[in-house]
Amino acid sequence: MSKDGNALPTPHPFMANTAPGSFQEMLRVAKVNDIEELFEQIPQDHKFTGEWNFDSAIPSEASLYKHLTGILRKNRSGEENLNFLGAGCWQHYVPAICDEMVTRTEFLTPVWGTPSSDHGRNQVWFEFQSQIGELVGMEFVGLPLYSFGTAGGHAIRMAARITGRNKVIVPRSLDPERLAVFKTYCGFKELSGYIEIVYVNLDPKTGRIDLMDMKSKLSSDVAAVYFDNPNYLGVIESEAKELVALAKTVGAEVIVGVDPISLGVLTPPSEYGADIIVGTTQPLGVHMNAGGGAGGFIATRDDEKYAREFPTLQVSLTGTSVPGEMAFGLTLFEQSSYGSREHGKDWTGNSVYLWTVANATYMSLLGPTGFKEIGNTILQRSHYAAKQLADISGIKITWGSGYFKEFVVNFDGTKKSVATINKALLEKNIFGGKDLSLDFPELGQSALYCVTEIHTLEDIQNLVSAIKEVIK
Amino acid sequence: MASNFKLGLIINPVAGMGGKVGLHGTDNDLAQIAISHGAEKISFDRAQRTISMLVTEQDNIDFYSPGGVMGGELLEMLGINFFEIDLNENLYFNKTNHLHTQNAALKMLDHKVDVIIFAGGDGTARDVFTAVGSKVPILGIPSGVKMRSGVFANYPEHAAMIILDALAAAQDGKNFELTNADVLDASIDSREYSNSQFFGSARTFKAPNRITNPKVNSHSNQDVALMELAAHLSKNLEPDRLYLFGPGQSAKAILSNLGSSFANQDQSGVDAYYAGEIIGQDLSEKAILDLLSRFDDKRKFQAPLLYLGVIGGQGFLLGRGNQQLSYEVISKIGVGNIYVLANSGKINQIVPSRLYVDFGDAVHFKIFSDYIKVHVAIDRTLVCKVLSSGVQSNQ
Amino acid sequence: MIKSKIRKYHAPVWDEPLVMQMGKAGRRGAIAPVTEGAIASAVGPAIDLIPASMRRLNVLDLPELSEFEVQRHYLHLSQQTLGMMGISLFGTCTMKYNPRVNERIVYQPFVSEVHPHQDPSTMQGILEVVNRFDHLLRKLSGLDKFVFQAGGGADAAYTQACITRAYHASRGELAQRNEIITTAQAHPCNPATAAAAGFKIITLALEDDGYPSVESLRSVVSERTAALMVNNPDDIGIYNPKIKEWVDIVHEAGGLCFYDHANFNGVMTRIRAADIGFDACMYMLHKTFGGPKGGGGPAVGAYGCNEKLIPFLPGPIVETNKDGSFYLRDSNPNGVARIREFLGNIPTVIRAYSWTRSMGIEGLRDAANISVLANNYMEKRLLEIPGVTKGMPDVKGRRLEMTRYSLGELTDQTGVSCIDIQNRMTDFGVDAYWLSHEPWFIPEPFTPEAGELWSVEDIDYWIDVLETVCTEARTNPEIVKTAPHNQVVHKQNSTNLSDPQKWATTWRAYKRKYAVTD
Repeated sequence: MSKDGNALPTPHPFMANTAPGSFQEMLRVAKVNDIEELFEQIPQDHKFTGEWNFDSAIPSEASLYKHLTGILRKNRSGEENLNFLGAGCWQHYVPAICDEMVTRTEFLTPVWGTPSSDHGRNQVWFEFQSQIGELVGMEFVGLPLYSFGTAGGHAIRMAARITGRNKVIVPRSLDPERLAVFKTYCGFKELSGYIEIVYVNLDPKTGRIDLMDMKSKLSSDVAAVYFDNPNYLGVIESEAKELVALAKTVGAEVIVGVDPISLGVLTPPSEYGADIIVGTTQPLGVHMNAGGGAGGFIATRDDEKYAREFPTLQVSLTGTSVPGEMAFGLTLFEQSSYGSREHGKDWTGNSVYLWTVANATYMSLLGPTGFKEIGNTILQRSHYAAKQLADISGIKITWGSGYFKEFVVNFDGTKKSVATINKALLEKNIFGGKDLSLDFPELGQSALYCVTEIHTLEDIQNLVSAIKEVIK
Repeated sequence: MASNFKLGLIINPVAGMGGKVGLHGTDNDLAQIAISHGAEKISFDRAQRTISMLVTEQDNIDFYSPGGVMGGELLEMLGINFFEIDLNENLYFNKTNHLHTQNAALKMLDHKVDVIIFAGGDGTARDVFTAVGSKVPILGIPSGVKMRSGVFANYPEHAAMIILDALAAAQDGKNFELTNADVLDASIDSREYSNSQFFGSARTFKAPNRITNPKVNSHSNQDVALMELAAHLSKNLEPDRLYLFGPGQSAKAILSNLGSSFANQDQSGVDAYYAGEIIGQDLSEKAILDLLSRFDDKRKFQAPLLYLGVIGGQGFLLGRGNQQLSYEVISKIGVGNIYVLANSGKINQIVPSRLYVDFGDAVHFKIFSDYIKVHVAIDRTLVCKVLSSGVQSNQ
Repeated sequence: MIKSKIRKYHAPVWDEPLVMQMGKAGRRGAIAPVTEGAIASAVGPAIDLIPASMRRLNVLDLPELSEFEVQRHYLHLSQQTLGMMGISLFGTCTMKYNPRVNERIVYQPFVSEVHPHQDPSTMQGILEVVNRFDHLLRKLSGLDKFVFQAGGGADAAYTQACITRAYHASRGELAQRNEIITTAQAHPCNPATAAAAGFKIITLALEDDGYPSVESLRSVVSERTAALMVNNPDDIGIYNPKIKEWVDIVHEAGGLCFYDHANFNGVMTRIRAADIGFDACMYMLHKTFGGPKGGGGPAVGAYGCNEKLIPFLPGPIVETNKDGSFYLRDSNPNGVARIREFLGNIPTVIRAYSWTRSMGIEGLRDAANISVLANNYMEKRLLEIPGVTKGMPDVKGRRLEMTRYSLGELTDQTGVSCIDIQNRMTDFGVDAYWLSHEPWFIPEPFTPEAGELWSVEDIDYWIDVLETVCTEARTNPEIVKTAPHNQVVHKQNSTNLSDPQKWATTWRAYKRKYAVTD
């Protein structure tokens, strides 16, 4: 039951002015007799007068904790289970200091602030942009976007604005989840700004984009060629340079999506000619959070052609009134939706800026050697797992080489569906790889397995023996 | 009440006459030319609309005015007693100049008037201001071609209402609220429409809904979205249609997109375009009407289209700097064939929303509906309220 | 209303270098797990596993620090962030307490280490919280279903724009219905997202009452109208009392109506979107419902709609089985497939559910009452400060949880701008205030919002600081214009920020442009 307007508030730990006295003092100064006077602008017939039938309040923290954890403990997680799911969200180890920083109240609770009020946080933003720029080899980086897919979607729209064209070529192997986001961003042909999505095939022998097919799809109305490296099915596009050269023959922009954790060992897309690089930030020190760890970035050369199309906000290093002092202020704010409403470049808003704290901390902890090391560990472990699985009769690794942390495992020879196998694995506390049979029927009963630095030799052996049992 | 409210009245008899004939003012010798082009007297009628609303208060107001065409004639006609400011010469309609205005204003200072109200445009405002500075509040009855200074009432009736409010305040022993306002006029050697020179800060009444904002110079505000719209419109001009372009940067930007031969058009006049060519520049009301007649065969031509800007911070659609787009012209074109385009930033500054239409009289205000779409970019419009001249727009 | 003693404040100054300028070659902050010998010998050197064309050749120029050095650096930066450590009345963002218990909950593996593609049977706890919170929001709004995929308020507005597309496309009317109507005082994200979705934008200008008139709306509603997207109250605290009529007019023409409830705090438990007639609404969980803002997300724009629009919601959508367990349903083929990947920022949905349960309906009512009362309390005191005036003063009636003020008079008299004052207030430990969304039609604007968190003493202190600074503007304008003085750094040079030769969003760009050598 709700209280009527005049009832005094009930003391609550989140509201100082529910204490006796404060509320009355404010009423007195504001010259309010009846609290409803304050709502005089709202016509009576707009106001809700019914019964709420709301769940009762739990103002005690102890009780609240018990209530919440009681529900949430029903979950199973990658911590106490062996998780081989990737496909757009990946389980990496999150260093304790990353968690410490993102839960610091100073970082956790504020809003945007200004260069004067929140210098420290603005510096983190700059360090995030700088370190991402270093990993991908680009000089202009914005603050993060909601996700990998939204970063890609905005990048495609940037390319369409830059070229004045309205077609994008994407590989057929694109993550269906991300492709769905791209489709949303590319719009409807009935409306303005529509971008047609054209699909380029992958070579079934290699899992890479079919260069001949790419050639046939390219035309002078193509705004952008988009591909991921490694691609969704785990394969490294080793002919990236050739792909870029092809795209350039028709003047298309090249957008490459990357997993930055691979860039200690893989060539950054800037070196093979990408114009716009997008990617995920989740592997860099952010928990999976059931998908709530998602984050994305856009990076380009420091060229006005690109900079003036960024939809994001970004901080720039600048000076202050004191020589030698550094400050960090927003650049190109006026082209954002905050600066120009519907005349701006797409739109921005609250994004995932807190994750820049985790990302910057993570990148600083790893350093050049750490990135190389983690890349190597992932490469070796994923290849070892694939090898072990390939040795099981009835199982094939669809593309046996040239991948980073994910690879496609085919179960056709076991005469069992991935669904059945995964269900059985679940009973053994194993989350099997992402079932691809619905999204990619041409791959048969296949699953996308993800192996990272968290998977030990023993974990891999457990997986192998579990699968052997399951397919018997 | 200690003494009566003292009101000085100055009419610039030739003000506003250049508007309909496509001249950009009546300073210096232009008045002669205007008359020879058949211009009508404007400021007398406009001042009458203001002063007639003060007739009932004549016992409470002491009027001060030069004789004849500079005010006396009007006051006599309305039966108002006044103290004549003697300028030591006979004032004839087409023989007055800026020195007469300055002289009259100076002498009013000696009489310690509470306010000087004048009928004229920016040039007149500048003359009054030159004489009195900020020593006494000034208020313009809008009667010129250009009125970009911040001392003009929106309409003659608004000027009267401001005076009535000030009078009421004075009778209650209160001070009426004053504010500073920019006095602007075209820079001496430029006819470029968007250039205003700042002459100083006058005192005037604080009446934001009745006094027009000073016109904001549009130079500093490069509006990419609007320029894109202009380019887009220029690509879609149809061969069987007469296009008219009102004064100002926004409408003229469409023309300058057509190529270098169309660029650098004088921005202050009305130009006409048909089938790839400029067929008229800096047109007078009569010339526009003639053109419209030439193109009114509906089997051969589509209805003419007028591209019209908005006068900067003033929010004027018609009646400031474009009097050649008269009631007759607009009704012949049809309101539905007017395409308004403007910088969104400027229009957004006008809160509450008001765009003004002033055909110079209190009769022809019914032609516009209450709301108009202002195009601010491709596929982007702002819906603004339109107030037309006359007492129906009391605010 | 005893004027408080102005405290001595100074921000911590560590003179902290960039992390890229720190450390020593060879120093390590984290060691990756070592590949077991059995693995290494089975697969060989890692580099051989990469196609030759794709091996990174150059060494990354990232900092090399010890673990402690990294920790200390970011702790320093956290200390150099004022944010909520003082008083933040950042208007339009509803600064709230973000209960610490929620961090304790969501950082446990049963939330943080859940993978979005896990079998729904293993995510029942999360799905249950989503479902429970969906039902609470249904009660507060009167609508029929909520989803949480949108990563913020703007993303929820985009959700609306996309659902509008899908809805009209499903009826074969999209080509014709290509106009979205909004108002000059709607949050910029409404026209911006609608434009990004491909619609033409019609913006209604504000009139004398502080909102556009019904007639103005009528003049543009037609068979081309796809939707109306508006805030109410707006962020000046003005409520449009004709909003029901607006919704009727748009519905009659066949358009949809979206209620951007960014300013819900003052009207929660009084106004329900469905009762006004709206088809859909948006709540910001990182704002109104106690989720932390993180300096700009991860946030959640909870999007709710009526039965008419449910078929067009983006998936995956949490649904209930007959046995009371939960499953995930994908979007319909003619619906919006995704706005963003996965289920949304689940930890913040959990935090918002937790906050709402702590408050209960009485707590929500108290919070709304206190927010609006506190705003009116502030108004009384603020208008006593010479040079401070109320935005749109001719609009009568009590403002709701926010009021926009103008420092225009003070600026005219002293040359000190609202931004100078914003900077100077940080010298007293008071976070920057919000100015205004575009368009700025109130000169030198500022928009404080007290909300229900801040005590009367905090609010008084905030006003006392503003008053002190306004006095300084008259007695010592230079100290205000050159502020801040007690902050981490001094007044920034903002001219570099818009100069392509000088801006630098990364350290590598800065080093090149300013010829810095490490």
